[in-house]
Amino acid sequence: MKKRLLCFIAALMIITAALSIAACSNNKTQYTAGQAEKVLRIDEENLGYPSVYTVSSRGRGYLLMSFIFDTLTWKDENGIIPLLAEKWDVSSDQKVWTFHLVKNAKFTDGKPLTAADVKFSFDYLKAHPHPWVYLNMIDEVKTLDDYTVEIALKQVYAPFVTDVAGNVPIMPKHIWESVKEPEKFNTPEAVIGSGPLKLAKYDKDGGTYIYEANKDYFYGKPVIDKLILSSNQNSLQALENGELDAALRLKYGEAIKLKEGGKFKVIEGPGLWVARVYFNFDIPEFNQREFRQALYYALNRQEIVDKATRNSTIIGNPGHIHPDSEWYFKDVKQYEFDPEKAKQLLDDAGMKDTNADGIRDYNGKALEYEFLVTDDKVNEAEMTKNYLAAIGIKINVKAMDQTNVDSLIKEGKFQLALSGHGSFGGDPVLLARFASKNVTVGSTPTVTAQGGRNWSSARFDQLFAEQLKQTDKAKRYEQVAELQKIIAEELPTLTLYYKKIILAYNQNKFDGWFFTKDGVAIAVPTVENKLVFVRGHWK
Amino acid sequence: MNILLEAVGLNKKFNGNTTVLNNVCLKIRRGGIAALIGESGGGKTTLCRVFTGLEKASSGKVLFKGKELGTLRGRSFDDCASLQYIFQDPYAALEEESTVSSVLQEPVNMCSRRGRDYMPPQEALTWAGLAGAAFLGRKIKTLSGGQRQRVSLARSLITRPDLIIADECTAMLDAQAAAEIGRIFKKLNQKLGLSFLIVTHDAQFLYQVVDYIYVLHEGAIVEAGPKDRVLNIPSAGYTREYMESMWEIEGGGLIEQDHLCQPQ
Amino acid sequence: MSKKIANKAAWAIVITMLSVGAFYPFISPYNAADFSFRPLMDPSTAHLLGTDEMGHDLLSMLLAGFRITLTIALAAALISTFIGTVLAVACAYYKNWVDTVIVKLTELFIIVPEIVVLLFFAVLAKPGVYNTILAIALFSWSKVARIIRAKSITAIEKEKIQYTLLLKGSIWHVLIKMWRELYPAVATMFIFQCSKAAVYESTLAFFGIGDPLAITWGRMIRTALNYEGIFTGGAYLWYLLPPIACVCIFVVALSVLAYDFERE
Repeated sequence: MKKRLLCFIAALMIITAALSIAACSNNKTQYTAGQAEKVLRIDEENLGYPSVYTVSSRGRGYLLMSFIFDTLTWKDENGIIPLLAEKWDVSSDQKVWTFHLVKNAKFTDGKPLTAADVKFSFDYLKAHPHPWVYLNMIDEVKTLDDYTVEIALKQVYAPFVTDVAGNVPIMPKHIWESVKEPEKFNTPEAVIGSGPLKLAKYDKDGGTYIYEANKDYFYGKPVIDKLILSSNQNSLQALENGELDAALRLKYGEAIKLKEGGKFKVIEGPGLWVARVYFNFDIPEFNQREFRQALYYALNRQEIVDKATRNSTIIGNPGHIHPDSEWYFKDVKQYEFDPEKAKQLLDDAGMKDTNADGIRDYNGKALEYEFLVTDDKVNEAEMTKNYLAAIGIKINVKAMDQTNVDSLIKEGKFQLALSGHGSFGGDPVLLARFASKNVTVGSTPTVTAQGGRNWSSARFDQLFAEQLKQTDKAKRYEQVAELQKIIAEELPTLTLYYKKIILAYNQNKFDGWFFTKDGVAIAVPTVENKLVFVRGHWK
Repeated sequence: MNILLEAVGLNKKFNGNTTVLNNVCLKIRRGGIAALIGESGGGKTTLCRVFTGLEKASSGKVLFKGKELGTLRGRSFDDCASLQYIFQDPYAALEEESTVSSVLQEPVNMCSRRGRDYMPPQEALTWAGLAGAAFLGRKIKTLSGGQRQRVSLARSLITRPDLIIADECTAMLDAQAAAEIGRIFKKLNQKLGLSFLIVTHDAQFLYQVVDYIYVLHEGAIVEAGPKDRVLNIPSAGYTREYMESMWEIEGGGLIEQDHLCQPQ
Repeated sequence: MSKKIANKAAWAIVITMLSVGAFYPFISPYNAADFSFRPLMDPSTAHLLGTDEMGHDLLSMLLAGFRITLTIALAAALISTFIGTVLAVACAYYKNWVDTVIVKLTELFIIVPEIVVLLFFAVLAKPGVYNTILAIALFSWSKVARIIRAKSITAIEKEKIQYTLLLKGSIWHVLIKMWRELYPAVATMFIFQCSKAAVYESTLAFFGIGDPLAITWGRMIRTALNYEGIFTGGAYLWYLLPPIACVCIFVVALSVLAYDFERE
């Protein structure tokens, strides 16, 4: 009897611990690098099959796909560089772009990459909309010869070279022309591209990716033989145990400790990742600017950065654009932490506590909302709850995982939400997320969009559309500054903080990491630029 | 003749093939004390359970006061209250930890909820030969088998039934307690006009209490008639065998006792 | 003898824990929701268990955890045990199709992964302590029902309970009558549900069901494990260990009690 009870107690203790660590999957596969094989191992999450349409629509999904599929242009630490297009010209009216392709690019099935594939890819992506690629401004894509493509635009589009030419994955025509449902296309043929790596194996359940070097890569032979991305639960431990050569998914505090330890090199860069508060504009009072301003005044953003994120972020800017960006404009309306001012604004807006229950009321309804947050932002939620309680607004926190929060926001099934996303840097076309549906130029990945009624401003829409056509950079900056002023004044979203990203790695094995300026493609913040695998040095 | 309970062509099969009751027909007269005798496993208990509704007959019907009784769920509360059943085992039928008064309270509550006239517990206990208010506070587990069976009887009386079916209710009692139960049955029959159907192996009971006998053999009624005739001039061969075996057991017991008393 | 001591100690622990839960505001040094202290302080006279990453006083959180964790555990167990028991008794009482339907439903809830039930619930529910309780009850009752059903089916064949059936007692009468038979199993199930709920509560908050800000032991364990420096230095001693110890002691005390009920 005693034995049984003891067993039971032991089991309970284990269950308690296991549940707390939350479903710890212990599939630490040991990949030992052979003498000849240069295997690089990095942590990653499971982002689906890395073909164009089957991979996750989040930024990192695009990244995994970009290892296989090349684009016309690309970016490195200094900005834009040629990739499949060795050079390009633009007509004087900025509407016709001519790309001259490299002659030695080949798909991994041996077929050469030609202008026909480029034309095909643009046409295919237009016919089959993709969450990352926006092609409305394109009028026509023509092949002039086997290695020259001409792209005519309907109207001037300022970020064309980076956000279109640097974003459209070039797919082999001979494979994709027969694909009718690309979302279901997940055969080995779906991952034939021209990039530096080819997919050797993808373990759907474990979320492990094994890429092999494409030795014939036109840009240069990769310096690694194999890249293994695995979803380790505990990246810190895996790195320390030598199961990983580089770790991205570390907490800021962990990385700092590693840096102090001296065994690993830690680099830190702009995350191009923003955490912000979403309003559902179907709720009447959220449409009152004073209400949104009051909320922003009430939040002590510096304290959130210090306490909730423990300095792994930098404080959010009311104008939304990251302060490191060349498009950042400083002189917008500022919201220093000021609860008294917040209360004043709410009073003026007629939101007063009429029934003395400590919660303000508006049109007979208490200001009480459900606050949807991702499960890693409970600290932020707790602080927000207190800040808002101090000005008489009650929130009930609901925490869910990122996928669920994404889809609830996208479907407009939320009241207030706190979430974050990448795709936050580079060209100010990212401000398209605040343009109304009437604006038909410019776009931002759908993962950052919110459902239900959105904020809209005719002036913002007009300015936004204009700046996309502006090719004089100084003039465009002025227009973008104006947009930031509107955002800071109107606050369609409350920008809380920007994440820094960190990479800790074993510099004795592989080095050459860099932060891509403005992120790859449409601002995917990363150190895993595929060029690192070509330009880096193995030790 | 005033018929209280009538079985018409009752058949009961278990698992589709084992026949337990075979075309049983019998009529129980109001105001009588009838006995049901026969070997163990002959279907007596099953027949009682069919009468009470705890068991469902495969075919045939049961008439009570001239109208057909369905299964337990189909019966009215009045029918259930008028036809009471006393279980064989006085130790299993009553909750050990309860008091006498709470046991007797159950039928009182049921009757008052449904607006049926009931006999006060005190009076029922008196009829059952358990006088004294102090008795109401006693715990069941402090009672002897005979006392428990009389509490069971008192519980049955509360609903003011017309018929009490008692399934070997004295089998687990000593002779003295059994005789006492017999006397109470007789008194209830005479004073209250209560009818009984008693399943028994007890010869004393047959001679002193009962006035009519049914003999059940292999699921069928093989003989039925007034006590004196059945006991003295049984017509069916089985009845004779049964009566002889009943006496043999008692006699055999005595012989054995004598044998033990003999010096070695 | 030692068993008796274990039993007494278990009762003492459970009662102490419940009273701490009831009266913690009087002994708590600070408001548990206050995070204005310097984060990650080591224990001192001002903060006996130090502070967490955000600057909450850990002792105050631990004490506040008694109320919510224990409330959730007891309430969830009470609801699931009640639903499970009633459905189980309904199976025994009504038999036939009612039994079939309930058994099928029970099987369904046992087969369908809890995560599916939870996600379904998360979509509909507003976050909060009540919904945590309901969610735990929702996927726990089936196990109770399965165990108690087996007990009820045996119990309802007992003669003392059949008497109630013969008087056309309702399912509630039968449930009350059967209580003494079912009580050990029901108590055991109740206590098992309690300990399970105490462990589950923290997980639920992260499925969008519970209030993720509710101060519970589960949340403390989770934040402690999320703190990268928990095992370097002694932080785990005052940060992680106390809530784990509380959950374990509670669960172990309850299992000692459950074991005694099972044996009874």
